[in-house]
Amino acid sequence: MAMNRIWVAFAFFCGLFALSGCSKTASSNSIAIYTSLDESMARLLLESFTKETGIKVDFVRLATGEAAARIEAEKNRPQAALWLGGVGLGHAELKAKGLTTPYTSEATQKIPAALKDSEGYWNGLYRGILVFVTNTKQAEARKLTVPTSWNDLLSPQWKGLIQIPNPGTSGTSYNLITTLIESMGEEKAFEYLKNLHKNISQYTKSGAAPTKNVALGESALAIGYFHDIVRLSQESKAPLQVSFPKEGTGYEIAAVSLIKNGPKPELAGKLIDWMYSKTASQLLADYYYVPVFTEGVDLRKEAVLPTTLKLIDTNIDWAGQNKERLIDLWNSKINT
Amino acid sequence: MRKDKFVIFSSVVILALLVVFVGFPIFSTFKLSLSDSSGLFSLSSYQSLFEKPWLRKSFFNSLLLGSMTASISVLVGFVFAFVIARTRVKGKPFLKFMATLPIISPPFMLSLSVILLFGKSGFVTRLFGIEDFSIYGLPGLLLVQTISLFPLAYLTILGVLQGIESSVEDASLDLGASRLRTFLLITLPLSVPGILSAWLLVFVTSLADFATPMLLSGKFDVLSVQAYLQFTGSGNLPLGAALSNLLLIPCVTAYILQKYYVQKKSYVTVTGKPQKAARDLTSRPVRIILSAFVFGASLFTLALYLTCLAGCFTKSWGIDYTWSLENFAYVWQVGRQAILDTLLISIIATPFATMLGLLIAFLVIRKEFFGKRFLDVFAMFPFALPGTAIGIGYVLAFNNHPILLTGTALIIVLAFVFRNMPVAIESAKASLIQIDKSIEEAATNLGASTHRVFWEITLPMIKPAIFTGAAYIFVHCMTAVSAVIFIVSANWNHMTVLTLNQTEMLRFSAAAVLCLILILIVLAAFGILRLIIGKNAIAKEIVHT
Repeated sequence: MAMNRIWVAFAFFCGLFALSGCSKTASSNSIAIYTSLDESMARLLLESFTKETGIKVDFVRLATGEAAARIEAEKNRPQAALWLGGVGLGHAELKAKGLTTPYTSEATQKIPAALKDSEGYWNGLYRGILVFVTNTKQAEARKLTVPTSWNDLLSPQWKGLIQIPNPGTSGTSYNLITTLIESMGEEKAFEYLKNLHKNISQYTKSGAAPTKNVALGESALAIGYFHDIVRLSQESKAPLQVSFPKEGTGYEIAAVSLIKNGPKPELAGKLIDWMYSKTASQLLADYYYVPVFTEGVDLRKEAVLPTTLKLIDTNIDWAGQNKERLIDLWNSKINT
Repeated sequence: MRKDKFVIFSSVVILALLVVFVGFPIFSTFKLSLSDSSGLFSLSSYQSLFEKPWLRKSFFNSLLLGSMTASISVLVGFVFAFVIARTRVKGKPFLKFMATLPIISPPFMLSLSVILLFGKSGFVTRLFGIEDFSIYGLPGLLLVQTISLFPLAYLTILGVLQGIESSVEDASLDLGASRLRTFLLITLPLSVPGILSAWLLVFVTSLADFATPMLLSGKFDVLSVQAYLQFTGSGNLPLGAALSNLLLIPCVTAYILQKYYVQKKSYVTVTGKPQKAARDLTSRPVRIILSAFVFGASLFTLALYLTCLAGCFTKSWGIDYTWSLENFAYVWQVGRQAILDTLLISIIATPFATMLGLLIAFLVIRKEFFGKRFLDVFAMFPFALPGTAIGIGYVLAFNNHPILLTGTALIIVLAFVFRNMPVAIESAKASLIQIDKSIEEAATNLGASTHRVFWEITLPMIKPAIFTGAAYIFVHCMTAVSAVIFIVSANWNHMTVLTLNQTEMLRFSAAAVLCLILILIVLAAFGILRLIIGKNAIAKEIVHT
């Protein structure tokens, strides 16, 4: 009778329904992670990790802010074991919210103190240095000179030609603000940003977009991270030139954190340790990063910073505590 | 009257499900919006909404965009509907196809094509050396939203025009009125409810639109995107919730207006009598102008789709236009898990949404019981909600005990089921209304239980409606983004979210490939639908959904 077939089909679907409630990485030798690393970099690294250890890694690539929000939303039932990459400030914020667990091991003990959380809640992977990137074709066509100072960006010749990310959503951009504050004080920094606003064509949502837009010719100048820009310029045919502000520039520390109550922390720990191995360090270096441990690693010559470059340190805790206030201020003073 | 056990049982169960999976998420969102970061009661989020100019601006921008899109879409939709229903223009199948294609397209496809052509490094921009114009912001948004949403206006107005008895117009013409006069004094006034209905429908959809502004808004902030950015980018959950609630207000208002006020004033009757062929209301010059317009619009839309197709085969659009298949390889590597996840979840959600919707429509149309009106309204409520509200609601409601679902596939399936169930309800209701009760009453008189009547009599008679409803639900599941973006996780991803990621990384060609795969899947689903229930049945049903 038709009825029986319908009940069977119904039962089948109920089964499927229930199945969808189960977790995918139930198999013993795999973990799920969130990563904010560049996607191709993440893929390379994790495939290499799987080859060496046999542990399979399912990852979802999310921007720093999205990853943090996802981890917070899942806090009562974490789906991911760890968060790989992403601006250190984001990791510090998660620590403050009690969403991560400290991880120390033989490997992490050797990390210099400046590149990790003092209590072990996050461990640094590499430094990202803020620099300028110019599209040389556009610069030539419009007779623009490549900037070498923060003040150069305020010149009217750049009107409508600069892109930076929106500091509300991008760690990169907020990093920029804290660097400026550290360098010239809060009042002068906001005056600078207000003047810069006249030259901005768009505040992009993601941190990496301005750089890519410059490569595409959608924009003439952007502020981004050195390693991203160098890699893009070497790999694509895009006419890019990097320049450094002579007053000094800021940086982020990309980090890795173990998620509190996340699944399979032991396997996750293995991944964290592996990130400091020679193989991982070399893969990072091939990708134009400067990893934490550079002994025996061949760095790309284009990725080496000029020795004359001044680095401006920001206090990560201060940056975290003042984030809401500063973003609010930025929105009300500048983003009108 | 004998208490019908089946009716009582199902209505109670359904009500319980609705309370848990529709009411609870909305409630959670409201609760969160009324608290501050430490969880205490606070109106600070709503205060921010009123005090901070950039948030007020995004609200007004949304309303502005919605109104403009609705107005233009209604105009375009009316011309299309009029050409199809009231003129002798040739090539109607092509026009009909182009006028409904955007409904089933992936959410980012048109935005992507527009960027590929008119972005700063777009093909057309480069070709003509256009310097100071930017497609980002209101121009781009209007263009893409109008093309995406005019089909809604077209279908609504077409239904109304086709429902107007042509004999009224014939009478006018026979009495000596000119064609223009007939149009202005007969056709147009009778179409007004349809036009208003279409305007409100497009307005609501534009407000809730997340995908297009995510790509094209530039400096023109809109509420749907702001809610998402506050919730995820800035981690300000209460503010995100408050923004989502703010978005709710115009959406629900417009929906109520459309459903309970405008539709009631409809001058169309579904009598089941055969329609006489409408006389052509246009003179030759007018017909030429209208044809030029509709064909021009259709060809432009077609060009956008072809651009997306071209984008799949270029190495890296904007930088390197050489032919390449590497994007397909890349998408297979990066996206195949997401593609399978999306298919699996959509395939599971669709039958549940359809059956549930069907059951509700049956209970509401055919039965009397306590709380019927309430059930009817409550079950249709998710239709009025922007996807953002549902996404945020589900994350907030189900990331805590007793019902802990974040990160699973189940949460996505449930969101899809309850969000899209109204589609099946509408479809089934429209079909049921047209079927005479007497057949079912005969079965009941012969001793069949309600349960049996439903499965063996009602269901087979409304098969076309069921399948069409199911097809549309499937499409909505496959192309959802604004709700889904909050509830995907490490284990379960969705193709649309992946497409957005690729676009944000400026990998336009990869995004184009994902759009292509999605639209092929959707077209295949409709192809299967056509095979099952036949061509004519679809044409009728599309008008109802």
